[in-house]
Amino acid sequence: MPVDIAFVEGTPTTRDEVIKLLRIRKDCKVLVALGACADTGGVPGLVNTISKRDAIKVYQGNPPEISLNPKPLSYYVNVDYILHGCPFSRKELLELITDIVIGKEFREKEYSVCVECTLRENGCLLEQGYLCMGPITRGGCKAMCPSNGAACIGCRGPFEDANFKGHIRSLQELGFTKEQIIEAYSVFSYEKLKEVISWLKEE
Amino acid sequence: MKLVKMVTIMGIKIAKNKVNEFLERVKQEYVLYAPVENGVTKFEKIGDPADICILPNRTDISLKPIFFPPEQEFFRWSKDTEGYHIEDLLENEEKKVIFGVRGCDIRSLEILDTYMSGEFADPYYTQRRKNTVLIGLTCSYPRESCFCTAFGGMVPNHYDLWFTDIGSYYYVDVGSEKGKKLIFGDIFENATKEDEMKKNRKIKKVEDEIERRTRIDLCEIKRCSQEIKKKADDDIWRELGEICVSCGRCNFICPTCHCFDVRDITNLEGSEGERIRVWDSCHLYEYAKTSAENFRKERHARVRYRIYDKFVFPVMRYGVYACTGCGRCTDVCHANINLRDVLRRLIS
Repeated sequence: MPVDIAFVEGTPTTRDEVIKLLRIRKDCKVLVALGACADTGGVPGLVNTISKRDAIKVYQGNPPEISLNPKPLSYYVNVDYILHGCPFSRKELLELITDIVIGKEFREKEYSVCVECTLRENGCLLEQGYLCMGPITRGGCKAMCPSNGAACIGCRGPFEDANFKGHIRSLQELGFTKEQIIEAYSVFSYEKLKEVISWLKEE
Repeated sequence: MKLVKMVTIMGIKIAKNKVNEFLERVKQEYVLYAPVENGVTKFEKIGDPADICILPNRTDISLKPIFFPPEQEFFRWSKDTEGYHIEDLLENEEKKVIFGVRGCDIRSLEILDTYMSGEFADPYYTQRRKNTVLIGLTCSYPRESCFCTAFGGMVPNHYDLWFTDIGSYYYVDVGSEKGKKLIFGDIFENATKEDEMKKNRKIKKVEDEIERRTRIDLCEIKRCSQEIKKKADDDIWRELGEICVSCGRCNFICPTCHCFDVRDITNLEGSEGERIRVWDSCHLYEYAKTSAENFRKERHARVRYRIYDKFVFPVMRYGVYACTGCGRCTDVCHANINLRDVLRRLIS
């Protein structure tokens, strides 16, 4: 049954789910990837950083069917809009629907969490010694975590203009090890940051 | 050199334990703003003068948000059968006294005034700026990043009152008629020659300290800006472009940065909405994006633009630097870009 806007949350991990996704794509005018898993592969994407045999241990002998490595939705189908974040922002969802309904262009936030964090006049968590992913993570969440004293873990994924080398450099200057940085980079955006991570490993 | 004629010839002073009484009296007529500590140090509306935090030097966040907040509503609109209705949110001016202001902050307001209340006056800013009395305070010692002496020293040309700590008293300079009105006879005392000497010694001591740390002189405005202009193709920009993470923190924290974006937010039906302004930053990728192209795509071009917009373009246009030497941008930079070092390299 055709629909105007389809929101897809999560990302396929089995063949059946991929087929379902393709069917949804065919049946809708606008497909929106909703949340971090649909956007970047999310936390399930972490499985790609280790061997499957190790990963399956997490289920303690009762593994479900995970036949496919989690990838972003855009790996399988054309995605019209992405609502980033885990959880995605309610305000952004309303903004997107409004923009589609009244025919305005929905603007992706091409700036980092630091922008919104600074606008809220927060003290900087990086300066306080936290491994904060703010400088490379896409804004739009109004810096919810840093404003409440928790460092950004990058759930919204990197924005296009992010300067990874600059961020890595400042983290290393603060005394974080390569392993810590790789871990932080892998949590939400392993699929998107593969190249950066392998560059960091080799360096 | 002071441009302001001293209103009083005799010096005056105020005992430190009478400052709260003075501010209490001020509060009866004005809204009082002063530095408070709340995670970061910033200026806020004061209910009880005991909350005021007398700091040894400048606050983390400048005066800018008082006059030009990070997010400001301009107007709300709604649509019905009769047409559009607009509710303008231009506030009534409030009479305010800001206590504990530093020289760099006062200078930054002068610079913001040229941009925001000059040729193209911004009513929302200008309204908030009206009826403001500034009570300055000499720093006890500078921060690591301070370099106000490069722009002519710690005490600005214009102020209403200027307090200098001279032990158990504050020496008070009066800089305007507005300031003179706040000199309550029963709270202030006449100062002696010795007090004045103490004050001058104190200011000189701090300024010497800043100068010793910074070793940078930008007072020859024309020459320096020409020098910086010549360095458009210098290697320094590539180097900075590689380490800058484009977070825009230097812009937002800067007391003279004034770029903003205007957004319209509507409800789902498009029958109601509001127009807001939010701060923008020239370090962000989309800042120079136009319908045709993005003319500052590369990071190094954006880094260079910011420095030029402080030290070259305003000199060409208004004959002033848009920098006060407060050093906030240096303090907040993730990449540890030190403005002082950058300038030293550019004008050497």
